[in-house]
Amino acid sequence: MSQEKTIFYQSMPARLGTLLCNLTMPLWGLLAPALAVMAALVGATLVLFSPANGFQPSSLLTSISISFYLTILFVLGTILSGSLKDNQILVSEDGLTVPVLTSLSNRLHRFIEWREIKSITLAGEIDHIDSLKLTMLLEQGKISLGLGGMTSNDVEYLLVSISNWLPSQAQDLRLQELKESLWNSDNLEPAESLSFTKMWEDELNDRFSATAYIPLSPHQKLLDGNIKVIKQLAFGGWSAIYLVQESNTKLKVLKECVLPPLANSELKLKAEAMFAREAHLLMKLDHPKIVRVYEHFKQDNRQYLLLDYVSGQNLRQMVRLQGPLHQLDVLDYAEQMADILVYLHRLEPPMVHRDLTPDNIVVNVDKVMLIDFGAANEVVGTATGTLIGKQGYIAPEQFRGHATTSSDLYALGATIHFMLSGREPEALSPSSPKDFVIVNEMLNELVQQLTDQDQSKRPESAKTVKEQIVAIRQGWQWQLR
Amino acid sequence: MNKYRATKIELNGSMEQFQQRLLLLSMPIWLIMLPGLCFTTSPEFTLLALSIAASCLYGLLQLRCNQIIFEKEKLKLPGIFRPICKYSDIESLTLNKQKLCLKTVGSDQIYKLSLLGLSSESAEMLWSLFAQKLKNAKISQAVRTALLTKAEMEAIGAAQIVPVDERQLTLVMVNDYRLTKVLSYMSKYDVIFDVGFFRAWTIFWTGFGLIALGFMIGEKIPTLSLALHGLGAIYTGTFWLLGEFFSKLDPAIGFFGFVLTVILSLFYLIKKWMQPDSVVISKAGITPQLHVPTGPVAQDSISWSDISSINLFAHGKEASKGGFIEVNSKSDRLPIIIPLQAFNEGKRAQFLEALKAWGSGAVIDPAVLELFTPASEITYTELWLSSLEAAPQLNQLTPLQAGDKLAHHQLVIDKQLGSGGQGVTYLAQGQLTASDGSLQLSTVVLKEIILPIFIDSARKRITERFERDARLLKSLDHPQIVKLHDYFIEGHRAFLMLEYIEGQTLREKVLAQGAISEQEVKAHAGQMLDILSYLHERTPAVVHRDFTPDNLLLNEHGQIKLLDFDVALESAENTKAQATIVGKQNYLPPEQFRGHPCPQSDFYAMGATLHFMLTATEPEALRCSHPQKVIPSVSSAFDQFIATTTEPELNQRFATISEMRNYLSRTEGAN
Repeated sequence: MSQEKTIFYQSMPARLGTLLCNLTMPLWGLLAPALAVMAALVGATLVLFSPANGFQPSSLLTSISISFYLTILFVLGTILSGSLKDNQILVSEDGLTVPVLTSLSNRLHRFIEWREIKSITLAGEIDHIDSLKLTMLLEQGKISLGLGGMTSNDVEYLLVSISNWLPSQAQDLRLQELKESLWNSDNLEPAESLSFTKMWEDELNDRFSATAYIPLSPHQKLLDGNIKVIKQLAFGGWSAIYLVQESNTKLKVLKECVLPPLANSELKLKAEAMFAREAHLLMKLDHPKIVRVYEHFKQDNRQYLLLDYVSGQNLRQMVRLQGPLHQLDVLDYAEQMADILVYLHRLEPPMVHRDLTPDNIVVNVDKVMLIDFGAANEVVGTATGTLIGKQGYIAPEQFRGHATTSSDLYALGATIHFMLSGREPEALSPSSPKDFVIVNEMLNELVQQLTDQDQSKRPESAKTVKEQIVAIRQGWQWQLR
Repeated sequence: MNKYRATKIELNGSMEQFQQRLLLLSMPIWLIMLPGLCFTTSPEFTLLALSIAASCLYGLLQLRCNQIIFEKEKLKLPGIFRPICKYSDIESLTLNKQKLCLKTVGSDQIYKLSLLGLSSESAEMLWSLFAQKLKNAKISQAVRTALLTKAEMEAIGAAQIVPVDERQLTLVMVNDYRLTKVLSYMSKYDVIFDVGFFRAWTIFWTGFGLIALGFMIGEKIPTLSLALHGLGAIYTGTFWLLGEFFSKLDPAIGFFGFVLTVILSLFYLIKKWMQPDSVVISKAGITPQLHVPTGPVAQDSISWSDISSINLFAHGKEASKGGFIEVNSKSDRLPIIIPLQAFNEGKRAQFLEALKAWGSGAVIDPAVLELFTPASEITYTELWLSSLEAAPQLNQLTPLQAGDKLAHHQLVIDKQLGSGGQGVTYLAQGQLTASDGSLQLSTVVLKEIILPIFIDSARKRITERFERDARLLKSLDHPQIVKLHDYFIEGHRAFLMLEYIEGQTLREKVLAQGAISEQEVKAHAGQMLDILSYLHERTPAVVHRDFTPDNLLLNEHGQIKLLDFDVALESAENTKAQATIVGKQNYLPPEQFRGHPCPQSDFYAMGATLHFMLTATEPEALRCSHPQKVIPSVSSAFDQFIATTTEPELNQRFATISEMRNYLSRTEGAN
């Protein structure tokens, strides 16, 4: 299913025209039709009630023509104002739909398929975005868009769409230049106007890196055709994540891990056994806030885990889009995460998650969902993130190889810090969001306690953390400036 | 250049929307007709007419301004005059009797906003905007709960429907396209005199006027009357009362028109009756239904087991409006078509549930599933990722086999050597240019990196990094560093062609023979320092970052050679998987773990490696290593050397290579 995104585009003439139309609206929009109706009524009266011999065809004609012209005026005004107000560009995988006025040079064809576009050129100075003009040469006709009529985010969005969907031979090198300049200029500004390009690049870095093996490609089938790959969601190193369809019906997520070939066979067997064991532990988990693991299987020397498909934004994407989150939101999410940890740690034997990071938490409206398991990842590797992005969430003792339930609390503290401040926690050092944003004193203290380097100084258990969060929520105090 | 688009949040509920539409549609009556009447009759009537007109106008404006607008720096509140608040001026936001109370700094005025008409999406959006913009205001928890539970309640309502056997889903199909169009225009109320509204308006009012006009012309001008008979007659019939009135003048025409209209509408109705007007989806199957006065009649049911496939037809613009779902049966029957318009948000979720519960036998278009999975928000990522689906199918890539040939250097693969985090390595034979310029067949090691196939931008980025790193590596020339002969990209693989060195890595050696004597280790340490000094003296200094027993090879002459570089796969190299299996984090100094590696980081790794060689046990991460604690025979001086190199604090570690050399030679002398 192709998705559409609306970009608002308004050129100067269109804006002026709209203003004029709006100002004169009572004339053509109200007076004209009213007079038209009246003229018609007058005509009708003339016809109906004048004595039979005194019927004057000329006066009837006058009233009819007045009524007619006024109606025409009204219809024209409507059409003009409608087309002036049409200020949306729809961008989708199939093509672009441009506003009516813009499409005049394309014989009023509003929908342009990507493959129709022969070339794109950018005219004007890159430093002055208002002076820039994007001209698309089509097979028949052309379309010009002044970039000054869009917000900078929309410009970026358009550019990224172009670079994604337009065949590469039609691309202009200057577009790339413009994209970079947008990116750089916005770097100075915080969250609010975070550049799209920057976000996309980050997303790209997060999701895709070079692999040491060949990942499955879309349409490939597994388990005798029972599982069909729809698209790759992420890959890197020795693992990948796919969106798949099970038995032609349900959408699921498939995690693939490859044990490096020719590795020490003993190690390999051990790793396989560990993977299987972890998978079976995960399949037993049953909590509404933890993604369900359905199946574990092995095929062609690759290990697979089949999980539920959860849609939504993960915390990292959220922070990227919105900047630091609101304290009330953070408290709510933190409480839900603590719930998850309470459940995991209460299992017999307690399960240490090991990989609680903003990437692994998906939020839908205000429901938190844990979508990934470090325990299984540790065996063969993870495709979701690099160590670079994750090291801030690893407790020192976990780094030394002795992860305990308390290490998860450290990760929780680091994640809360990330949500509050929008910054990566510094690895191997306690975090204090207060240094970056205004935070409730108790909440700040909780983060500091959770990210204490010394295990024994952290809160005892997930349960106490949850109690502390609840206490903060109940006695909510604002700390201002 | 940073333009900002304001976000508008509609506070009008469906009731208010209806009122607004009604007022707009009847605008000519109250705006023109009523004031017109003012001058005609009694003063009471004038007053009444004027007050009606004024209240209608006020009501309309009030309804039209009932939005909150979030601009870059300020907030516009609902109301005809749109009061403005700066975000920084807002002191608190509380909830009082379903009303949002907004208090500004330094004024007693409290703005109250009713939340009753807010839709769930708007409520969610409102909260996220408040949360983003009003970071420094006191917002009571009740506000958050109210806005989010509003969103939640409806969300639950949609998701709650788990198809139970008795439960069924009825979709009302919208068959009359024209009617829908007019209705959808009418609903586009939000911009005053939107195209859609205008069209509806035009249809309504000019239609009304033209009926009368056309009728009169048809009646009165004999030449036109014949041509317009049909049209006029239909109008006559449609407005039967009107027709009655005019039929007094010409009863025959009026009667004819009436009869014609009745016949036409009957015809139309029958045609419409032939089509199902709803679809019932239950455990039994998918059943299109037709409602007749006696009740619904099933038309053409397809049971779940009989469904062969469910497909989506929707293309390009406004896909959700014109698209439909086609349910094909296994037997030779006409497919059932369900327009997408029949699904609202809640029904989509239900339909998906039904498919999950019962439709397991049918082939379902993944697009259907994706369309119906409640989307959180179309994010930039989603849109971008959708390009992956449509990626061209490339010829299948398979791992290289022995005997496979590559174009560069006429390489022939011998066998797979092994694999690490960086990828698979092969042993190969290839033509190399010797120092005298002649071509020479020699054995080389090929390191393979698979580039992302589908994602152009990702591939470009990785390729660039690969080339940059390979260029750097190629510029290195030291007898103890493995030589990079060449690098190239073939198809979707990047290759590094490296010198082939026989020998075993330090890890292999220690695992095979156990701990190595102090004397020997010291000799190795000297060689390692040679390698590091070469790397660190380059400008800019090359930090190896992975100076571990796995990457150091000992050849038969007792010479240490550095094998691996973090080329292109920097990140994959450090995956925790690797870390767990071979315990690499034990060689990682804290500052490198924090993401700030420096030349001294290599010292730490070297110290840890020496510890491993001496003791055959893994060094402990983030700690000073003291090999003496494991093997007491290690001299204190050398133990101290290793402890200082593996000092977690940068300023306590050795600072330069010469410092380390001096220390080593001093201890040598002391011994």
